[in-house]
Amino acid sequence: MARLSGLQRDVLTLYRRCLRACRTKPTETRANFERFTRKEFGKNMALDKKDFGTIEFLLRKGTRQLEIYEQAGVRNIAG
Amino acid sequence: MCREAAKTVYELENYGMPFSRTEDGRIYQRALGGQSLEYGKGGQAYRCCAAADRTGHAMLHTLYGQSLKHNTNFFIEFFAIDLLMVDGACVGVLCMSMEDGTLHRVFARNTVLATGGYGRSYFSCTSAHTSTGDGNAMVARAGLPNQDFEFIQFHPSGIYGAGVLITEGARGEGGYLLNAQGERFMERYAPTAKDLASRDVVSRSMTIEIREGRGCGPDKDHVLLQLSHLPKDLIYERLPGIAETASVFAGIDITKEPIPVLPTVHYCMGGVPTNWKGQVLTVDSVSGSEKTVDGLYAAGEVASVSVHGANRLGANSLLDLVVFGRACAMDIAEKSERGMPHTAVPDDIGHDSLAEMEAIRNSEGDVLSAQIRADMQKVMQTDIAVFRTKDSLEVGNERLGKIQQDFKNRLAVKDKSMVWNSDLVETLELRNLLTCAAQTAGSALAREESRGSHAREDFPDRDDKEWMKHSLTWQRREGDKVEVGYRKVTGTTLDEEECKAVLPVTRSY
Repeated sequence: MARLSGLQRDVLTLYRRCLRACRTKPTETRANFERFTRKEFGKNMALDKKDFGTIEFLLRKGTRQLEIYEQAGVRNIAG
Repeated sequence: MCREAAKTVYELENYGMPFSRTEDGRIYQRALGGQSLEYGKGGQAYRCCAAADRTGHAMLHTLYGQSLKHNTNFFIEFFAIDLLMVDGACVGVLCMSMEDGTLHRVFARNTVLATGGYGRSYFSCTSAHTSTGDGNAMVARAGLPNQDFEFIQFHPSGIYGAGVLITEGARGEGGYLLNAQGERFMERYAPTAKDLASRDVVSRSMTIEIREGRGCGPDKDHVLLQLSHLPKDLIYERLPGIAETASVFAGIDITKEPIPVLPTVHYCMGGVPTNWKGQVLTVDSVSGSEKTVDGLYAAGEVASVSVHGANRLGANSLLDLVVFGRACAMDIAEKSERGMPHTAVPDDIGHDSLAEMEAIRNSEGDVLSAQIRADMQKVMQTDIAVFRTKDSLEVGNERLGKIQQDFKNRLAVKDKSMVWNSDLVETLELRNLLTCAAQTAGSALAREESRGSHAREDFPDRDDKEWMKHSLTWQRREGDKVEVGYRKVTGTTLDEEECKAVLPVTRSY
């Protein structure tokens, strides 16, 4: 596999952080959080890997969402 | 509130609020309308602490700074849609993040409403665009009553055209009102207090002057506030914000020319009924007695404790907010601890509010929500204004009924997305404004006397025997008939030993 670019590594870092946050959630609802994470990332999989502006925006948006949802008070997620 | 006032000012000053100071370093106190010594018989009182002319602004930033020091989690750009209620107790809020269009059910043991008033239901008001009665409407949709909605304060000095407020402090520092003939007309209406009479008296006097043809300007529809006779350094030291506001919004240099002003909607005395601890009250439908709603508190303009009655004195809104906000906090701290469990809630709680929101988002009618809002504001401004008659109120109620039907059946929301959908958010705010307006119109029609800011030309006197009571209004859904009920006024103080109750007397200046 070709070497990953800096941007690709950032996306994977965010995904890893999300999955780690899912592990802190209560057992009954953990699957909901993991499904949500995969769906959110899956929404933009078809993006051109050279579309740097959009990718960076989505990274910022994802980080903001992670900051809210990883709080201990958030216990379930739907959709 | 009066007992806690001095302590509160010291507490704010210790937080770092930049009050104006006198030469010897004490907090500067100015005269403000309606404040007197010896229960009205001792002349004007000088007890309003101020920070130049932007006390509220200074308080906001001081308290925000303090809140950042403590463990406060701010959810910015979240719009609260409805309260979540289980068995008559409040368990949380349903809200929407405008930034990414997600919906959140936030569960909490205690919810404090501090959403402000509903000035935007009028065409000309001094309130911000966000003053849309969200808290009042959420409470109404939860089946709880709102109190004293018919008392809307018209502030005498809002800039003509823009509606921006010129603070009462301008009159407190020596400014006075002039009509087209250059006469200080307030001397006729309130010989003792003159321009520092209570706000409703001044607004009514201004309206009478304009109606009798002595208004200023080409349309003779406003009066002038003269400040140019005051020394320049006094103006720039004590009233700098007004100098800038007048030059930006009216294009006037206040050291040379008078400001054109008009009575503008400023404050809503009515709101969610609470007790002195800030807990929201409701009337039990079975027994007819009052009881508190668990888990729900309210403070500020959204609440009606009510310390303002039918007319609010200047500077008391900030005091009310700080004192009773603190009272809510102390009551919550007494009853709750970190880590206490939440009540069990059904899985589908909040789904009906969501369904309503979805229905609004998908509406495909022919009337835009901006049009409905403009219609409502005009009806309120003409029919339910400073002076009210039975005819104008009945016509107003009927027109509001039609507008609410239009909202239910003919609404069109053009933007269907969930992210930053200002069309949807403004329509939800319009829904909140409509129920506030309908309840205002309903209780105004029912109250057949003149009291404070509710002035009826067909019932010009105050009737303490029949009408010394709070009005309560209920309206669950827009278009529903507004139910009006009443509640006794608390005539005694909390501790008769410390401070005797002040009996009501006829107001005369």
